[in-house]
Amino acid sequence: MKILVLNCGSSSIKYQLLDMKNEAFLLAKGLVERIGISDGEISHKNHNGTIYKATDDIPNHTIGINLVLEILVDTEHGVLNDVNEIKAVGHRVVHGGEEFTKSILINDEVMNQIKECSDLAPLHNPANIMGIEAMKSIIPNVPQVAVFDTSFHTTMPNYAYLYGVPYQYYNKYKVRRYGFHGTSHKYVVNEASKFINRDIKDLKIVSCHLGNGASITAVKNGKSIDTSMGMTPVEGLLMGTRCGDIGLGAVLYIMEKEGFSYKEANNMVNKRCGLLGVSGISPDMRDLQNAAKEGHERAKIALDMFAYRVEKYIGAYTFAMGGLDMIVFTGGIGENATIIRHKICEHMSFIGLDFDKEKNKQIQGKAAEINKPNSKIKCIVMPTNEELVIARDTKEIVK
Amino acid sequence: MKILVLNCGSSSIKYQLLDMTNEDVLASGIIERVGLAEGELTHKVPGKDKYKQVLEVENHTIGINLILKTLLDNEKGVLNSLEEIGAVGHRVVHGGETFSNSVEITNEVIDKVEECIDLAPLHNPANLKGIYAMKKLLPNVTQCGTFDTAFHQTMPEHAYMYSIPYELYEKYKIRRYGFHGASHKYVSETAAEFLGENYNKLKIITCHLGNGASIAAVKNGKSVDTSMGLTPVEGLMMGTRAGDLDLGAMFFIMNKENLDVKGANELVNKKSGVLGISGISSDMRDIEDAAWNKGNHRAQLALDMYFSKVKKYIGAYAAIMGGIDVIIFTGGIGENGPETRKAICEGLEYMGVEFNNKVNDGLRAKLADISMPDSKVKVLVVPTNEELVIARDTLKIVNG
Repeated sequence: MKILVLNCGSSSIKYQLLDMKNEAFLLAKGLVERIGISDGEISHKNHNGTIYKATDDIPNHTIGINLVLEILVDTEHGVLNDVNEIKAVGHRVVHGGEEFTKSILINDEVMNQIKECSDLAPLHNPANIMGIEAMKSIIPNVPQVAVFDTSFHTTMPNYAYLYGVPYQYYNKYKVRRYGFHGTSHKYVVNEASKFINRDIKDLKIVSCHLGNGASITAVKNGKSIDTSMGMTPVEGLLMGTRCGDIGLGAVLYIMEKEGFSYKEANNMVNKRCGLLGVSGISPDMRDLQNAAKEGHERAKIALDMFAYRVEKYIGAYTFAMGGLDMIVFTGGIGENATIIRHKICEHMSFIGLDFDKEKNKQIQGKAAEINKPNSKIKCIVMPTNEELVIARDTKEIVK
Repeated sequence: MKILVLNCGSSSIKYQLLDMTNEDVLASGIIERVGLAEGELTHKVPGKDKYKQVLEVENHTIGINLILKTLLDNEKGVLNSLEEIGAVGHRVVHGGETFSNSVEITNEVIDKVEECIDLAPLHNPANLKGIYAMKKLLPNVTQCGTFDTAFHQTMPEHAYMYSIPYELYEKYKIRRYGFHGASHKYVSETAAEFLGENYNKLKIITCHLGNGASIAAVKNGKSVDTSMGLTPVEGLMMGTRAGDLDLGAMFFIMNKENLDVKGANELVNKKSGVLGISGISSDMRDIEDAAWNKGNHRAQLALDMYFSKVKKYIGAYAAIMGGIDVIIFTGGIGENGPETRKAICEGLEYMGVEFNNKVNDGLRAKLADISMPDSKVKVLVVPTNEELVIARDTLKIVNG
């Protein structure tokens, strides 16, 4: 069964075409950028390595998706003979609110509910909706499935998902912690459990998805019981440009001093903080590692702050679960930044992690155990694959 | 030497007179509603009945004058002459990055405390009023300042910096400062002494749980991290303060409810926390009663949130110190809430905490070890005494 996975942003469409017959096989993938702006661009790569790039005006998502389908059936660069070979489409949808506890077949009612969640993710859900509607207009008879970033975290207990603000805001606006990266956390904790030959139902796991956006999740007996991102993705860890946890008083103080409206403040904490804000040079971990090596002081502080915050969350979630069996690293930084993993894990011996520094140095972008053989706590690097989860869920639901 | 300790709020003055020979409290009290109609003085001398007087107290100078008069009074007083007061110690809330220790208050120090007003606009001006008044009334007596923030000045950069544009730190000194420093210092030192251990070799987590609440990680005698930040609203959920909250959620509420900075500050400081969740009260005793005796769901929720937050901070600080030797409970709730202490310590067995229910049950406001004799991690209740810290620091400075 061939499944198209779509991840639509406000001005971009990421896609992957997977053949789910036996083991999932990636037929093609690509990215459409600058939709609705000007100088739109599509870059496409198929499984035998051919790369195709083109620029064109792409005024909206429907035209963007049409382009994707055209290239997929292109005689030279394509991988399909006919669009009808696509048996289902899986969409990444960012916010599923409290409604969606798992992936679901999209119908009119589901569409309405996704629209209702737009208030909670005003940048993301409308783009996801555009993708779904475009797809419906182009291939109306193909089943479409929505996979939510928030679903995996709907198992959190109320004391973990509620904030200490007046309860009426929860009743009135559903202000609460939702969490994100659910698809990734779910995938890596399951894969990591298999990797160490243990049943996830018996394990207490801290899952660290460290990328440009970053979040940590406490997974107890296979269920998310707490996670660092909140109602929005700005909470929690220090990220590329997002500030993560910070005193409210400090932000209100800045707003007052700088005369910021809440919109300007929101923009600042999302776009100008984090690694970029502290270092003053870049939101990219690789740039900061290079700069730190050359003695750039603020780059060093940014790295220390990043690792320190992760350490605190691991400790907090270990206590919240009453113990820890495994730490999992994923995401661009988690999979590749050996120094960061080292910084995070070096003080964890008191909870029973015997970290293998040498082994850690050799692992980038592949599944591996980076603890010493007798370590009470396992430490696993597990590359994430959100598209695969979306394709699997879609296949399961369509069947 | 007799030392007068003053803690001036915007409309209140708390005081204590101590004889430092044996650290005995000679008298203590509070004036409330300073500058408002119908001020009230409550004065207490150990072993005697409380004395109360309702009268208008126009300002801090008049208030402090009233305190001095009361201390000299034939009946209620404890002094024959004001000259017996050897020194005055003031609590000062915000010392910014300038003060990492208690200091003698000179004109230069006053200037610097004034510079910190911006960081604590409600507290520092009140503290300064007390200092000015005292200078006028007892110009020849040495005055010292003990700062809430000083103990936390040992935090490393990666703990006190916020991940905001660095220029904002340079421009406004926006960073984590922490509060309750005198309390965290006192209880951690007292615990080391009680256990007969070397303070400079312990990993201690101090939980100051009162209406305001903060946790500190004290490693080798130094504060290395604490939950309150630039302002006291950060960290734990408190009586009426929100503690940690997604900024995105705050902006969302500001947008929906049309709140400006003042409105948002008011919301997260005065209407949130235990009060906001339960909808009943900011007082833990009321909440416990509602949850446990009346089956109130939201009161139970407020308790669950409160406990889980403390637990997460303890875990976080254990991780950054690479372990824990001692957990300390102090403050109104920490000292008087056996159920709270028990709930927080539940599930910490794997970390080496063996909780002693028998000792803990019913234990209130008393220095005690509430862990089992061979518990790897010691859990203590240590009643705090910020006034004594101020008096001791003042004495030390006066004696050179």
